[in-house]
Amino acid sequence: MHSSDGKKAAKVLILFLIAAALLLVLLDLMLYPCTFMRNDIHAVTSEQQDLVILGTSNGKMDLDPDRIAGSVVRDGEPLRSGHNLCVGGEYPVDAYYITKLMAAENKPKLIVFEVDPGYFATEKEPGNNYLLFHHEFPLSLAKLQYFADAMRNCDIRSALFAPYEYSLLYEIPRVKETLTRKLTGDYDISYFKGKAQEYHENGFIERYPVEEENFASYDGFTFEGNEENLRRNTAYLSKLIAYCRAQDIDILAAVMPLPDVTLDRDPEQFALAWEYFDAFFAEEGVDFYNFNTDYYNAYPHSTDLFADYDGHMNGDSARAFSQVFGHIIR
Amino acid sequence: MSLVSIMFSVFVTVALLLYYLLPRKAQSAVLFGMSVLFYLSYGIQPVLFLVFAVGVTYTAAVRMGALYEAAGNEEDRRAAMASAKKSSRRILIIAMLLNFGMLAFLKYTNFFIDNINGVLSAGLPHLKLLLPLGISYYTFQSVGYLLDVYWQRSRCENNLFRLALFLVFFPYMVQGPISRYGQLAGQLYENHDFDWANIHRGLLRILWGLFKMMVLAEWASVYREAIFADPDGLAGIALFGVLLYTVELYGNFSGGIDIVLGVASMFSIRMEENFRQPFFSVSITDFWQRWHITQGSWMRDYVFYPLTLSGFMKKFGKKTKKAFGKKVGRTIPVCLANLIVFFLVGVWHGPTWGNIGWGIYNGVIIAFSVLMENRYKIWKKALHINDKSKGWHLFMILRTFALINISWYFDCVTSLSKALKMMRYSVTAFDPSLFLTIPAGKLGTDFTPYALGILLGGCLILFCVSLWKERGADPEADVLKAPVALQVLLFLLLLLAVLALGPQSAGRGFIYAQF
Repeated sequence: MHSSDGKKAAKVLILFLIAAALLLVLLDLMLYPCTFMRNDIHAVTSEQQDLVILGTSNGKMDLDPDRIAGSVVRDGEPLRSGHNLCVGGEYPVDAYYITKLMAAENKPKLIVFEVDPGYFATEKEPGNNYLLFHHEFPLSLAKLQYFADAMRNCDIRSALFAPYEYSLLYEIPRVKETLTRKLTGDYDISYFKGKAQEYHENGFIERYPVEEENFASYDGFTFEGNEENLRRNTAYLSKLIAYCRAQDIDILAAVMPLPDVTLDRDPEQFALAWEYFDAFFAEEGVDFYNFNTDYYNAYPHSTDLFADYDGHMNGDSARAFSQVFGHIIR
Repeated sequence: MSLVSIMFSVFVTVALLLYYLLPRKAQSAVLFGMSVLFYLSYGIQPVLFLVFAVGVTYTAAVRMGALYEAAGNEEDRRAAMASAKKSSRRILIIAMLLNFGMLAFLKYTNFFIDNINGVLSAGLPHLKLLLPLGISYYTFQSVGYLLDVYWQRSRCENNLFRLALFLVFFPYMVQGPISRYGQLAGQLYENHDFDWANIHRGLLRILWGLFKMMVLAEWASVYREAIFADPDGLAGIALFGVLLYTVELYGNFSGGIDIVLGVASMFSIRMEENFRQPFFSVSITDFWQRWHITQGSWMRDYVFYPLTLSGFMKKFGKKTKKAFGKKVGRTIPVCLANLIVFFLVGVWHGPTWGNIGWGIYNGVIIAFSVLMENRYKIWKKALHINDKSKGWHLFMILRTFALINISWYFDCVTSLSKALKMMRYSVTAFDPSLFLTIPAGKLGTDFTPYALGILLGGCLILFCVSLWKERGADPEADVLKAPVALQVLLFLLLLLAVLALGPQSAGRGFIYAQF
């Protein structure tokens, strides 16, 4: 190989790396959609939120922080503000790093961790499930730690080109809008209003009522036989609890009410899950509110209060439940 | 640590910085250290098997080396060498039994249990066995090295660390290629100067490999899986199912090898090529000299030749000559050796009867070709076929391609009846519009025309590059001759294609990593 080849190769590689970096930043700005997680993370990092709810889609659609915060007292004062940071696909690992991020910016007084046992029995898929959170983290130590812990095994597409997880067919026509919103710091929530649900400023998603005959099909629930997933996910929950204690943040856990038809379908599996979490939270010394066992009678479980068999409540039901929830955890 | 994870990119970058920034004397130590770290990322248990293989191979080779050396100093060198060879053979057999025994136990025990249960209804439970990453590859490299030492083709390596580096060099661990000690080891221990051209060559090769793997193979896999999951509903595109499997397998395996060779190239190490435009093959024999080349040559040098030259085969040849005449009788031992080799190739590919059947299918075709060679010559002469003509050459390529694809019907379904059904549909039903009913993964059927366009365009690019190489070009060297702006554009286009054109959340890993 001639030395001139070496010089030319160096020139090509350096120019390529610079061009690639610029191009990837630009494409990310143009093509990665403005998700409601962008709003959620912005809300908890830019303003003080006394109450933060972490968990899954059940928590997102069942808990309205505005109906809870006022009822709950900490340090002799009612909580003034709250934000729901739950989302479908949020595993304990995500909740842990979100908490780290919040603790560094605006530390909440109370964290409600919504427990969906299904999330403990399954493995988090790499890719978009991490990006949804990681992409919105501002540059911080928590972002780097989250990357090293969770993103490192994602394939290079997820790590280098976040829009990979979204359809270009859908995103390209919205480039101008996406770019404008990002460059102007626009967090308007009207973009998230859909035919089936509505996102609110406090992170709560209001599901519109659905007739039972239109409920989505339900696959059932399996808890046993997933020891490795349980071990991994529970380890992050333990880390989250320990971190909250170290940061002087109160934490409590709750399982949202499920429709009776759902509970009756796999009673043995649910019994195993409740037993597991009862023991876990007792050992951790964390208050645990299970609305399908000890607090079963605190809120009805009839199907008309829900929008599907997975247990996502419709908006009115969620507000009523949030009120009850606030009084119970007061 | 997957070769396509961001972690692997960071790992390679750190390894390269250490490799070129530390004193050159430390280069092989850096490679060794990083290789151990890479392997440790898969857990501690796999490392124990690797340590066992290195230990057995090193001890046996050193012992054989010492025997030969001592014999070389004897007065009656010839007799001493014969005696040393006899003792070495015992050591070799023990070492091979230990190496292959470990591989066979871990990989095939449950297959035997399944078969015993099938025949005797014994109800034996499966054993929970670990299949350490790369075990097939390092076992073959170990045994190849041991045989080279035994045959005195290669000198024995007395430095444990050096031999270990040859067996654990991280890029090849996931899916080969199977390297030879004589070809690779020297490069691993040499000191290398940093050369931008090697980084350029390596990066281009990696991007090309990623394109084949993450765009072509992954899209092909989306549609192939759909077709094979619903052979009745999608009967009209059954033929495309197997063609897509060809694209998937080639894209995944050769793409992965491109990544491996590209990474090695960045360390100024040139590993052996594992593919040479296999779909330009004019016969099955030719195909196996172009597809998984390092495995084919390993089988040729360490199984086929020793087998055909063995005393047993010589005796067998004499008998066949007596029974069938000189011409035919001479070819029968070669046919038998081919059948044995391809039976082993099938077994290597995995503990299933499908793989074994697939191996035997290849062996039978090659054996039949050997048997019929003279007859073919007579027929061609009678039919006035000019086998140097382009038309004949094209016919041979298409015929070989068809034979290869037929074999893959058995490779990508779980039962013989399903394979036969797919073959029947391939020739009795044809309705390409059915493609439009298959969703493009998460993106649904709306994206299917685009996905098929990407797949078709990608295959066309792959074909053009293959044709270019078939005509003797060296794309990586040729690209470096192009103007800088054009090269930067090519790198950017490849990167964007890899990042943006593949199916979403489709990462399927390396098919050949399971072997």
